[in-house]
Amino acid sequence: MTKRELNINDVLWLAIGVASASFPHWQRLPIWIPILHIGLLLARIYIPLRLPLFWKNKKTNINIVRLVLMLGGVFSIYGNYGTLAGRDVGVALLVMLAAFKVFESKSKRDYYICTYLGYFLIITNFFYSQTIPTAVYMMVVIIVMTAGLINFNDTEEKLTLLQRFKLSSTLLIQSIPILLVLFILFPRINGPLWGLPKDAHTGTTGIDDQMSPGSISKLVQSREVAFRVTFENEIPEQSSLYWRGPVLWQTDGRKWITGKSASGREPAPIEFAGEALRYDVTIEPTNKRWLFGLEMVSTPPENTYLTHDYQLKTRKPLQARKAFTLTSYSTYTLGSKSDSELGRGLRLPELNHPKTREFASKLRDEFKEPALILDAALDWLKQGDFIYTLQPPLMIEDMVDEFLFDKRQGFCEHFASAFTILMRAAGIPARVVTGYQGGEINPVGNYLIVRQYDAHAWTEVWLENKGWIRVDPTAIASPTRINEGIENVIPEAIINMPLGLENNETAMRLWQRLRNTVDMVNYQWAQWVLGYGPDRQKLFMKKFGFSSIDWKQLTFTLFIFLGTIIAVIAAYVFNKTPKSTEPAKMYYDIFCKKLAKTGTPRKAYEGPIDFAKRVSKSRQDIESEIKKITDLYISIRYYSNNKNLLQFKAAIKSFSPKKITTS
Amino acid sequence: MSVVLERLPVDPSGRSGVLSNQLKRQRVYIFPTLQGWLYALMLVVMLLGAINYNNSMAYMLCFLLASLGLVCMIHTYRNLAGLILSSTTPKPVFAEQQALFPIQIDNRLSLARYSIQIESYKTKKLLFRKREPRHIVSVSVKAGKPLTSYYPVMTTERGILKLERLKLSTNFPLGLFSAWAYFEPEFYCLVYPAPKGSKQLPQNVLHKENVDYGMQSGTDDFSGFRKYRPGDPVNSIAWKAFAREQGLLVKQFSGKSSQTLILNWDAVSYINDLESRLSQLCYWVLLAEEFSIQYGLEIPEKIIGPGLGAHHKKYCLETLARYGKQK
Repeated sequence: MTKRELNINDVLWLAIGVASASFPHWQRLPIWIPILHIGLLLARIYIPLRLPLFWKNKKTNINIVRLVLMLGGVFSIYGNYGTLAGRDVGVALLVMLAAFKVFESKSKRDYYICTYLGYFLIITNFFYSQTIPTAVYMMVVIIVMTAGLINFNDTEEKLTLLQRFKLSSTLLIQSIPILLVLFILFPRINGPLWGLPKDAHTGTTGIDDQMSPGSISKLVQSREVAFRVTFENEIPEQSSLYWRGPVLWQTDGRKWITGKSASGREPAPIEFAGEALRYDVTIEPTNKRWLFGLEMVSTPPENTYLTHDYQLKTRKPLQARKAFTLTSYSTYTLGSKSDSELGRGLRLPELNHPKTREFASKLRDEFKEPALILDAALDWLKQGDFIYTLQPPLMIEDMVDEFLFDKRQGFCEHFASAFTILMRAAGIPARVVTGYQGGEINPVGNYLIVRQYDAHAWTEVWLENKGWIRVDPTAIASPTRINEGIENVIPEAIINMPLGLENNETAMRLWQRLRNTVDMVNYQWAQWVLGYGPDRQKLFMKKFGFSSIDWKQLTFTLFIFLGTIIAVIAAYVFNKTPKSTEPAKMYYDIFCKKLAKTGTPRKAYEGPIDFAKRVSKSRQDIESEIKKITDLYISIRYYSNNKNLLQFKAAIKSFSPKKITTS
Repeated sequence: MSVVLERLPVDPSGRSGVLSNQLKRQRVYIFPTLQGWLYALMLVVMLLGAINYNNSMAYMLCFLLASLGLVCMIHTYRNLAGLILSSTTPKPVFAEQQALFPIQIDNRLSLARYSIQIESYKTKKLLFRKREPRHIVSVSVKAGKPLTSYYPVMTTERGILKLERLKLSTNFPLGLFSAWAYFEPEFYCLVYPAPKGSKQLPQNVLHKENVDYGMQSGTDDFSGFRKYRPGDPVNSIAWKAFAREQGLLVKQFSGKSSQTLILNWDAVSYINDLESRLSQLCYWVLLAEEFSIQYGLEIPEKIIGPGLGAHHKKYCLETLARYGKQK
């Protein structure tokens, strides 16, 4: 290959490729990095154009400028982030260094390194976003960068811009079958191979292992999907959809935390009754270990376990979208009488909530039996004019007392927290359970979408002979929240309609349908593309009858498929023989082929007439046919009698010379 | 002679059998370039990243680029395979001029070929010595079309120049793989001696002859016509007579200046070096031709009678070029 210096054309390709690959990062970086990035790219384009001598002769100057700029850049990034390790810093450095590399690129080697840096920039984008639009955008970037490589190797510039893009797209389209085989069959292992940077999974929202006033109402403002559920049979009623998350035991009066690990590692004894409910949960990454199952999950799936208080937890934080198959029973009796556990369920912060304590002791004195006390408390709650609202008034002093006896406005965390404390004060063991309640049914895919705004908190109380039972104080105070979902209670959470169409019902329905379709596509994408890991690979292979396939067999299968597909592509690419565009010639070629089979091939120097004469001499049996075809051919090809074409075609079709063996 | 790279294209008329007898097959080799290895290294790093972050789209990108590499391999190979190469005898040149070897590349498939580099070098390659800079010709061939490209070789000495083995290579489309093939054309370029030396025509061998002596004639005075004989200079043909349908006639001239130059070994006896002698003789041949002076050549083992014209010149120059060389 000839050595060649980069010309302005090459540099433009590089700059466009690298800039478009890093473009989605710009909004995530400190503003000066994208500015420096673009500045360097423009300088590389502009300087040799306007100041060719400066670029060529004063190499040392350029080198010093470059070095100073680069060191300055690295230091500034360190200053910005306080570290040089981690995902965000890595991206910042990569974006900056890629621009520097383009800036200094002169040779073929530089061109390739810049292109490869561009490919790396693409992959880093996927650590932030793996949505379909991102994937489509990146595909376009790959087409551009590949076209750039074609540009570089098309040394004579024989291809037009359009042809370059076409060839680049062709190459990528032909890659897709191989890509699919690799994606499906390449043996997957569970990462990570080494420690991930701490910031690898930031920006994920979701339920936490603690609850304080405002923590859930903050979540409620997010439309983000928490998880999606496909039920094997019918989707149960909204009011029974309690997705159990962290169980909180310990409180200081405001904040609830899970507290020290519950008594015993084994899940508490439980008895199930009624029908089993089977469903698949595809959960978005939370970087936490809770999995949300319907109350109550019977057996934990692989790589998860149930704690004593029936929190379903994964062994590793959920750092990628994952799917689990769960089985639940809606009727159950949970727990055994264990003094330490019940003691924990009664613990109250010292000297707090005097009003609540007073009210609790009044209830206890009056009703004695825990079950009666509970009923009385719930009645009191129902008739207490409590208001369920996202904007509760400020409660500073004693949150529980103020909420129960003064303000009476709050969100589910206020209800759950206050009610649990009230129960404890009345001598009934109680705990707070957080999770999600309800979900939105997507009729397009017939599955349930649970979003962050479905986050919820409720109470569990211990009653002798009944075990831990669920009491949802929010449901008592604001029944619509539970029966119809949050969208009906808090208007802000309703679909964001495009401006001006809020009152048009048809538009509303269409909009809803579009939204549902988009979510369905996203769900399938999440399930089959993003969630495709070792588990799903096993599942997929099972569908094709490979019930227990190990990585060796998988690799073997992979190579067989790869070989076959490459052979098919190669055959397709190679089998481009020139076909005569002229129909008459095409049919005449068939005629010659037929004769060649009988042992009289047409010689390279023979014209149609000579050929006919020669063949006719030895083949008197088909002489008239040959003459007819040859005459027709000549009339069409050389006298432009196109009307004979059909006749010619028919004559050739019916022409079938027999092979004769001359003895 | 012709060579087909790797595989014979299928002729739709089914007549490829005729061609295949004359065609020699030549293997096409393919190997990753340095950039290709670097690409593979990048893919490994990407794969590790994808596994570590458990990122499906990272896997996807890594596999897409890996597939792209494989497809690129097929296309690079395809860019060269199936070409039919042949060569014809190049035009003779004078020493120290550039000889142009015509190489015909016939692309019979409906796929254009881009950026094929042609270079020629001696098969004996010294391992640790830097190869001398070679000339590289880059060509692209349209789908289904032949193309003649000229490979230039700088000549240094007179004689017969053989074109060394040709290497055709291509990195198209992505430069990740390099495919190459060899072509050993059996073609020779005749290199005349470099015309050098004194401008002065040798006086001592200037002959003054009578008009009727043989076919030789002067240029000064027109003396009549005679019948055309092959080898007569074209500019002495009487075209007007030809137009009158009198047949091809040659104008004959006579006069005092009618002269014949015999270029022999004695005329250059003052030069010691053989090559310089030949160069001087060559120069004189060209000068004599320019001034339209009849000339003959007498060198050891070869005597060429006096004459004038393109054919005569070519014959003389060829004799000088081949002097002392085999063939």
